[in-house]
Amino acid sequence: MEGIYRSILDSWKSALPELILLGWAGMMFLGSLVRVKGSWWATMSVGGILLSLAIWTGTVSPSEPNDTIPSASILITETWRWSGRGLVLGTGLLLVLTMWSHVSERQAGEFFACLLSIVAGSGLVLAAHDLVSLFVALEIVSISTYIVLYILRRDNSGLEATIKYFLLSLFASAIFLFGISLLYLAVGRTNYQQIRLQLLTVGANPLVLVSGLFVLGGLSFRIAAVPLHFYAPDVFAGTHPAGAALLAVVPKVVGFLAMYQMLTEIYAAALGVPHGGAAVLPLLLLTLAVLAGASMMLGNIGGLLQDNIYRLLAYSSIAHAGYMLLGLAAGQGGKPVAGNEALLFYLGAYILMSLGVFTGLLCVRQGGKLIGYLDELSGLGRSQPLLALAIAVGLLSLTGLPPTGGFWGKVMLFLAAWYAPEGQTTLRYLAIFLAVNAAIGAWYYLRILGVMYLRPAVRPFDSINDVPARLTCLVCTVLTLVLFLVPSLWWKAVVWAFAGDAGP
Amino acid sequence: MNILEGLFDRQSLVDWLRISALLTCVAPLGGSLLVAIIGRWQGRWVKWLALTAALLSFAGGCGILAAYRPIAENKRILSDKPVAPMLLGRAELLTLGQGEEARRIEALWGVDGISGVLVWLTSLLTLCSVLISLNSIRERTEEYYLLLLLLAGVAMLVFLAFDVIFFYIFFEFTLVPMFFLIGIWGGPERRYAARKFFIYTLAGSVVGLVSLIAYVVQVRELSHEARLIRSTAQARAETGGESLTSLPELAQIASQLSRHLEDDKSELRAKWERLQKWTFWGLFLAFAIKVPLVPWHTWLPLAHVEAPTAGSVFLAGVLLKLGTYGFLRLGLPLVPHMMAGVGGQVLAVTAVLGIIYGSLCAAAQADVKRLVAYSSIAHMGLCMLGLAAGNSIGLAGSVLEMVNHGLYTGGLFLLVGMIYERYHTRAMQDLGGLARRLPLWSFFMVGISLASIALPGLNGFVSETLCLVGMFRQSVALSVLGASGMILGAWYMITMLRQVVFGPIREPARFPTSQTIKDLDPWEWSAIALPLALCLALGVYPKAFLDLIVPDLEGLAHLYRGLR
Repeated sequence: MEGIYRSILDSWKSALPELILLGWAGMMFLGSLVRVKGSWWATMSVGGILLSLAIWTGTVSPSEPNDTIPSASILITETWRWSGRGLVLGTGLLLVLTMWSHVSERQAGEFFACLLSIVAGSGLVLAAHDLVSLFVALEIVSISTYIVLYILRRDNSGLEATIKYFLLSLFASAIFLFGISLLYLAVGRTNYQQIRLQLLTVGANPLVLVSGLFVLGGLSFRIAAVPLHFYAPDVFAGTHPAGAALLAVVPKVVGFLAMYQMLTEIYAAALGVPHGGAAVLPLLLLTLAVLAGASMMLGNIGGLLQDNIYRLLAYSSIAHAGYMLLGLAAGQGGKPVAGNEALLFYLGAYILMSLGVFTGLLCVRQGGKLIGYLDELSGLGRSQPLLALAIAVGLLSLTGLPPTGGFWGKVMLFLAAWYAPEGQTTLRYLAIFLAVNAAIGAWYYLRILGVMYLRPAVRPFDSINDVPARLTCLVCTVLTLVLFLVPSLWWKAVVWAFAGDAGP
Repeated sequence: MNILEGLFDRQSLVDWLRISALLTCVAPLGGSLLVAIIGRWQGRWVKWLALTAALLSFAGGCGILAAYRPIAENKRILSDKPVAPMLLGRAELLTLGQGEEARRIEALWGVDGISGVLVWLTSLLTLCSVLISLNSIRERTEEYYLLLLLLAGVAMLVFLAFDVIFFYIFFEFTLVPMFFLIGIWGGPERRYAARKFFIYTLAGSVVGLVSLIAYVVQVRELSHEARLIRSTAQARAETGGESLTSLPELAQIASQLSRHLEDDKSELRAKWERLQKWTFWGLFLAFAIKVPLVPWHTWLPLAHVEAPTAGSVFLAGVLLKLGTYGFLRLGLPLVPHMMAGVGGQVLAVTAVLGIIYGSLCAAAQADVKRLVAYSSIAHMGLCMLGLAAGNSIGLAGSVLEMVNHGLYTGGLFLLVGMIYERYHTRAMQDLGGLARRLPLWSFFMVGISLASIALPGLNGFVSETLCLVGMFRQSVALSVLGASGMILGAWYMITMLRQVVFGPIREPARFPTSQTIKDLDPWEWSAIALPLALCLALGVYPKAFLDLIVPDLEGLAHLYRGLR
């Protein structure tokens, strides 16, 4: 028992920014009894995230963290984890701005506290070094997400969406939990390092492979990939658009990096195990490749049929999960472009382009209401040219066209597929499949562009003054363009994040 | 031109070339940016601004030709360098990997004879497009010129790019402004046409991108396996470092590999051919749709008919050339065995198919613009036929045909646009005897049509004959079949001329007195005079351009002599 306390005590330093953010959120929960203006709470949460970011900058480990074997702590810091947490905090900042003026005054306190918990929980997922801490962190994210969705929109469709998300999320968590229980059954440990050691002594066990399938299946809910993708269109369309923006980005980052974490730190260790251990990781990667192909196909075919813009973006989000799964399936170790690097690069570009589109749509209103259907965007290019341009840049980036960051994202995925050291042929066919899919997807992105620019306005648009959302949209659009012009900035950061991680 | 050589040494010639090339593409891009900034509140200045930008760009284009001429004359032909442009600059975009394994992706730009004449053509057609739009575009002018100039600048950058990724970026980006040009200012079916054009081309080019990436990764692995690595210092001196995607370097690796593995029967040779096979089909999909080769042409008549006049001019004159240029620049040097073998045969056969099918379709059209669009398919088929021949005559004919087709088809679309502007119809049965009503227009129409028919003395004759002669050396049958395109061309063009220009006067019922119909105004006049003059000049003295083009084709032709 003493060991556990020791490791918990050792760990708190590793996740200081997130723990402080959680504390900050707790204070906001308590303080929300006091009635103040909603923007005050938003400002508070921006302050919290900025504080957390400041501490985060300070916690970059001075020595090479990968020299030493990660300890028995339940939370650790490594460069890629540290970088991912920065990405999450930055996304959180953008999300606070997005939501700023979309919450009623009365709930603002709890709402932003929950949003901060989501951000903190996502950071903890990235710091997790123990099955239990990983699960707890994942649940912090999920539970706060339910509340956020509920507060944002409380009419019938909003409630339906929240309930749907709630039930399916529970279902997915159960699958994930089942997966890690099987793993525990096989090795009897929860700490990653101990699991790795135990794997070597226990030897090959089919349970390890089966647990991997369940873990990936459960996490596929978060990234909205096949097989647990089907909630996305209903929930995106039912909930408030700001909630859809949240669902489009945060669970993706969390899900992908959790998958990566499990694959590299646990299942990769099975490679050294005699009698069949070497087959575990390749089989899991192959599964991922199959899921990638299925998600792309399903997302893009589904997207073709939609008239509701949020349903369309949900299908687009499923397709993008498929694209990024290709990066994950390409694994580590490819030189000079590895799958995990391409994945992280694409994640960054994806956050920017998705948030750009979603916040752009948040700024479009007709008759005091947010729009939901594609036709309602008619003539936006004429009446609000800058806003339409921002949405257009986001859409071009989702399509993967220059001059946007999404173009380099796709190039990186292709490069990773060709530089991948193993399972090459599958990945290469998958990359060709991705290209075909990108062309199919272009059809529905182009439809939005066509509606915005090629049709006359049916009804006038309101001129609204949602400065924070506009600011987010501007930041995302500009960064998407900058990412195209100077891809090396983000690429160097990505390479640095993974440098030194030993490949499986 | 030789005065230039006397006046300047080589270094200052290169400087001149750099300045002209920069001017050519920066003028429209800068103009586009300026229009975006001032367009909102200074709407009436926009078209003059666009005109200035187009004029500057054309001046730059002429500057490129003038400065490149002495360089081309003194060009030392290196047989192992199929692509050897005058590199003018580079900017690093990305570095993958570290240390010894570092691979750079960089924006590499330069000029050689082929890209020089095509950039010049683009700048000329930009000028014509702006001139024709001055009076015909009356709504949303600032957005229109913004997009038109943007399209022009980006299209020029495609020709100036000597890095495959950089090439691809601009190749792909031309879709965006063209989509809006067709979709906003086009005819009644514009939205459908714009979308079809966009998706069709994109579908091809994304697959092209994958195959290019696969190629750049694997060709290097192959050259390592074949122990073909040149010393780093030598590589850096020749091509400026281990750039992953530099076209001159890739072309050199490919040509060395082909030569090295010529008599090799090993696994390596099989690998090299497999790589070429996959890459060829990827590139084929990208460029065959763009050219377009029959049966991938269905987007073209639609897009052409619906596009505004300047859009059609640009589409036919420049964007189709991106396809043939792609085959020439990427296809020929990178996948030589395929292009000398199966791939080349596929290209030649589909080209002949396009010539015959396009001509027959053109003959069946009642709409003049649609007729020109189908004739465009036939002429591009001739261009591809020369390219598929792979010898220096065929290649020279092909490049010259790219320029010539831009001039006369661009001119034809301008003329059709002028008629539509006056009568709001392009149907042949509504029009007739216009020679009496619009003598000036009819003069230009007859002149440009004759160039398109390939009448000796006009430019079409020279290039199409070269293409056919080139193909004749490879395959007599295909060449003879291809030649039918010239006969069919005479048939449908002359039928159209007889109907529209000569005979009794016929005008749409809405214009009974026709007092309001005026002949060409000075802007229209100047837009069409330049292409016709150049058709004549290039018909009489094609050597002016051939001298620029041929030295840069020698390396390729040499490579293909070795393979056959």
